[in-house]
Amino acid sequence: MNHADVKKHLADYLEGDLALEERALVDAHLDHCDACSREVEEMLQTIRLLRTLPEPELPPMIAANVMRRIRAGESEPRFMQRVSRAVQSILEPTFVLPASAIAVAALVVTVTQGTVTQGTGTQGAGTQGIGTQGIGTQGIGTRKTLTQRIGTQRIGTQGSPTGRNAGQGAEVMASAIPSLMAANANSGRDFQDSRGGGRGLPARLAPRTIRLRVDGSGVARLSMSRRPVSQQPDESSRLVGNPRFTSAVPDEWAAQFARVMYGDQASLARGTLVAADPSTVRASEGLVQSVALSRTFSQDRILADLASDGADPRDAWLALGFEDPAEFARYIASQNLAEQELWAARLSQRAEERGLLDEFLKTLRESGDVTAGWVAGDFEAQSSARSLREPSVSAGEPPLR
Amino acid sequence: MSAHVWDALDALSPSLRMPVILYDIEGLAYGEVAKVLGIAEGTVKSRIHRARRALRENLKELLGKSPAEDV
Repeated sequence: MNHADVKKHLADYLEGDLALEERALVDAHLDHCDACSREVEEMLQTIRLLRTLPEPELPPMIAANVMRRIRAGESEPRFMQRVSRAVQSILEPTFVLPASAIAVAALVVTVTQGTVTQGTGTQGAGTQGIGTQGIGTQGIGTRKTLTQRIGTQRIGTQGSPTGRNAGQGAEVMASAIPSLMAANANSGRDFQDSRGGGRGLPARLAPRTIRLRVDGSGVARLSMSRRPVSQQPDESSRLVGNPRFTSAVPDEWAAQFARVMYGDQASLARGTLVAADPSTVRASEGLVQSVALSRTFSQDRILADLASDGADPRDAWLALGFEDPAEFARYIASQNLAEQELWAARLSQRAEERGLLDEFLKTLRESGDVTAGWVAGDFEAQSSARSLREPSVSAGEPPLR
Repeated sequence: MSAHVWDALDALSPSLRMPVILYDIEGLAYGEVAKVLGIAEGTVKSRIHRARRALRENLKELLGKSPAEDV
């Protein structure tokens, strides 16, 4: 067996899938070939590194939801077993999330159709309230800076606390504040990711090249939990952003999704679903969701981007929390589960960096709003998880107070 | 250490990252990964291998430091 043969069989060799005979031949080659045996060695080490990574710990919100489903008889044997083992201690069955929260869009999913409320988006809540009360008194930043932050498109289109950068051109999340979107003349239909770098062209220009992704559960679940825009003209929420699939979405799914999200006039670019087979939706939902939680991919990159001009949109969201805990909590709760976790992680981290976490949690809890209380618990859980992972608090930004 | 590994995973393209995470970290079988991602089992296998090779490149320094005896 020569180098090429070994390379060809390497994957199977590493997995122990080679027949005994072939395995012996590879072993014989490795015995006298330093290069190949080093490669095998390194591959094995790589695999071991991967396999010793801690499995993502399921946060309480997810755990509760999963357990709720188990009780409802929606078992997905293998995943659920593992999950149930992991969550026994933190089971909290009374934690019921809004139906829309079950529309889990996964790691790859990123079309969060920002259903955003007017409360978060109006100028009143967005700038004045935050500028005067939330920030002015809590010391997150100056009014001017904050107003600038809030007033920019950055927050609307790419500054969501959970916004993920498309480092690989693959995952872009659009979460938007309606009034800002309107101000930017980006209607939902041709919402454009404004991030520099040329990604995220308007769908109508490049329908087949957009790299946003949605998975099957997103489509299937959203259709159950959201009404068409046309049926809720007076409601305070509306949808922005345009889901664009990477390829091969069944037409009927795309059409259905478009109708649900945008009403009858909507059109939608076509693309790929991660789990195109509806029968796998539930399995992939749970699994991919758990993967999503194991790491906020590209989070660091986003932070770096944000840092480049000194603006951190998380401050604006924290300010909203101080200003109107119930509204803040309602917004968080309107996200899908994975997103909720990311919000909790990102915002609690920011609050901590600013030395404001305790005060923030207190504000949420004392608001008397039930959802705000849940959110506070979740923020706290994220914070404790973080302190376990990173005992030393990063010496990033000192408190402003 | 695991932060490095995650960074390396993060650097992979999603089409490589997903299979290797589901397989090596989540512990799914090939068939399950295939089902979840909607791709063929053979594709899963080859992507996992490619992902590991890429990771190996990215983690070279780390690998050097790992204790060799427990391979």
